[in-house]
Amino acid sequence: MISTVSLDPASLVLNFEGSIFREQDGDWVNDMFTAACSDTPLLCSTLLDGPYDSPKVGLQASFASSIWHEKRHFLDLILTNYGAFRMRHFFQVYCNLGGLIHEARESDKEIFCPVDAYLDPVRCEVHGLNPRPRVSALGGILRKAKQFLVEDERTLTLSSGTECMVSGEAQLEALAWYCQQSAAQLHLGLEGARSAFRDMQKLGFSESRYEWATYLGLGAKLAQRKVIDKRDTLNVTALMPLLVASLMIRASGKVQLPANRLGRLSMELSKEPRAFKGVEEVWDHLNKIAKQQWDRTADEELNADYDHESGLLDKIEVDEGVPDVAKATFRDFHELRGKLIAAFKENPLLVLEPAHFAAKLMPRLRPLVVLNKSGGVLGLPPKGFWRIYGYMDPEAKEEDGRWWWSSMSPDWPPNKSGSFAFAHPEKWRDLLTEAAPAAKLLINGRRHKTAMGAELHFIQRWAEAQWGIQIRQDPLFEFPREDCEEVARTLRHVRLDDLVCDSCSKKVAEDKFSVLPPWFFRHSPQMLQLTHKAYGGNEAGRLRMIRDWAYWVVCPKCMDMLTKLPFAREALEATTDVT
Amino acid sequence: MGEGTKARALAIEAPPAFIEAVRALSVEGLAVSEPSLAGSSADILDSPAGGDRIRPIREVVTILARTGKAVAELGHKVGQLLPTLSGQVVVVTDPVTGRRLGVLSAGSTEEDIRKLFWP
Repeated sequence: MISTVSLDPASLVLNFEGSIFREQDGDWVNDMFTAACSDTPLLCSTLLDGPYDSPKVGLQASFASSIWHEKRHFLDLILTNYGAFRMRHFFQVYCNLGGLIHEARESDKEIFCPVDAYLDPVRCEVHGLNPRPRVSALGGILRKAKQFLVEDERTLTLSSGTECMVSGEAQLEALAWYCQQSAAQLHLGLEGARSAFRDMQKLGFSESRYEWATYLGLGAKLAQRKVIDKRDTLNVTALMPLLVASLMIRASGKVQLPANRLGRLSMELSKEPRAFKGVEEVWDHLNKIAKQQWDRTADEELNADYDHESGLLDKIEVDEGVPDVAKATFRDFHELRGKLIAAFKENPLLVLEPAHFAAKLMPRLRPLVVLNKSGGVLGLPPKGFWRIYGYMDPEAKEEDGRWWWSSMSPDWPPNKSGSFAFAHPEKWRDLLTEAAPAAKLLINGRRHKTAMGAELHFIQRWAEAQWGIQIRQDPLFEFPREDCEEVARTLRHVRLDDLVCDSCSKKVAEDKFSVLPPWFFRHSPQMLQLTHKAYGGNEAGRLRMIRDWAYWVVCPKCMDMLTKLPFAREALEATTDVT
Repeated sequence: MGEGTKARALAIEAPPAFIEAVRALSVEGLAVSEPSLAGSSADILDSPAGGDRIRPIREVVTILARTGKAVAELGHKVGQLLPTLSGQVVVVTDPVTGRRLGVLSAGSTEEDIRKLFWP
């Protein structure tokens, strides 16, 4: 997975991978990121460098707007019951991590990932696993969470007869997309927003992924088509409260599925279509429907979930087996959620109305930012930054044997106005270095769409060296399956067609190259040997091989040579997506 | 043809409905694991600016066929289920090595299936 910005659902940090861009674009990328991420989004329009129809301005505008998209995710994953439920699922893993390591040390000194395998007699027999109480209990929790995601993805038939796939995740995406559009219009101007959208379309983006929400809005009379400036436009403002109310699921006891809740709310809405005066009126009406259907308004459901979360926190605080980092980050999360709930109650428009969100709340949302460099940067991170993932080779000379892949600073990008941020960044840093990547391994092995592949490699080595346990991977979950065509499209686009083959250094034609994912080079001992040879076969090459987690661009000639090797073909099959 | 084939383990990755149908197969000597989500709940959310599409969920099961006859029957019945796929694919993998054995779709031939289940 390649992305310039992405929100990590396991830690809520905003990952920023600036090195995907060309080196000569470094200055504007940093300036744009800083402006878009902090409380000065209006500055972004002044950074657009050229006419609106130029590829560069399109790229700049879409880059800024995608940061605002992720900021909306940050809000919804903390504030809504569905988002908090997902986050609590990760906290469950963090809380159990210490006990799990202790149990593994006391037994066969091994953890097989994903750990839900321990619950299954067939997988235990195939992989020779001996189930243990703690690891099996955690496996049960994780299996339940996975089942929740499967059950939530279902087809919804609208009153028009149109069938669409909805899920809590799809609802999060729709909310973020509407807010991204609104923020782009507000902070980049109408032409800037159009430029961003054109750029996203060039990249293969299609609005059709949110068509279900549009249909839903039209069916429930919450969206209106209008022709503005000779363009067919859709006002979806009133749809926002429906999505927010849907995500206020009952997340304790028998957990409600967002897909079901959305279906019920929209069905009830479409029974008595009416013209609402504003989003607050829609919200009030939805509260009434929720009360009739589930005995609690959406507001009451939010309060109940927050109280439930307080109870969980109280239990965790007194549990001596729970690692301090899990306690501290859960407390921090809960407190920030409390602040966001208070702001929502004081002014619901901040959350329910895209333009209000974009103007008043978004600039104050301040996720912690992790600066990633997948190629690795020699030396130490910039002054004031903490190293999150890095490496120090015990045998190498200092200058080429020490580097970092990820770093963060509690003060970057700066926010001057009162912001909604975690109060203890240092605790989140600690979570990021151990518990968060360890949780990912336990949940799904190394088969994740991550912002930084090195984190999973890093934690596996860490587990062996520091915890004294081996992490054994289920071969089905050993590698992420990368959509290389999508990565190629992104690279071509972000680098404005300025690409060279990473193997022979020759310029490649814009649509005639392949992409090789970082795990491809690490698939087998033969692949490692080949990669080492490609880097010169010497000591410097060995270190570069460890350091480089970037995707490789390869010209057809080099790709042809590579795929003649059976082990390279096997590596490609194991690390790429065919679905 | 399949009678002489040794017992073996296989993994099938497919859409949930297909996996459900595989789990419902009644074949003597066949043990099928609980389905597991192929994607992760810890995946970063879809890229807003990219062409990354919201992908339908896929599941994976590990299958232990204890006899050659069970392998043969599994292959036959999986072949019968293939027409239910609408544009999606089934990936067959060796769960012990992780090696991809092949990819099947609604258009796969009997020969394609035979190669996978009776190599």
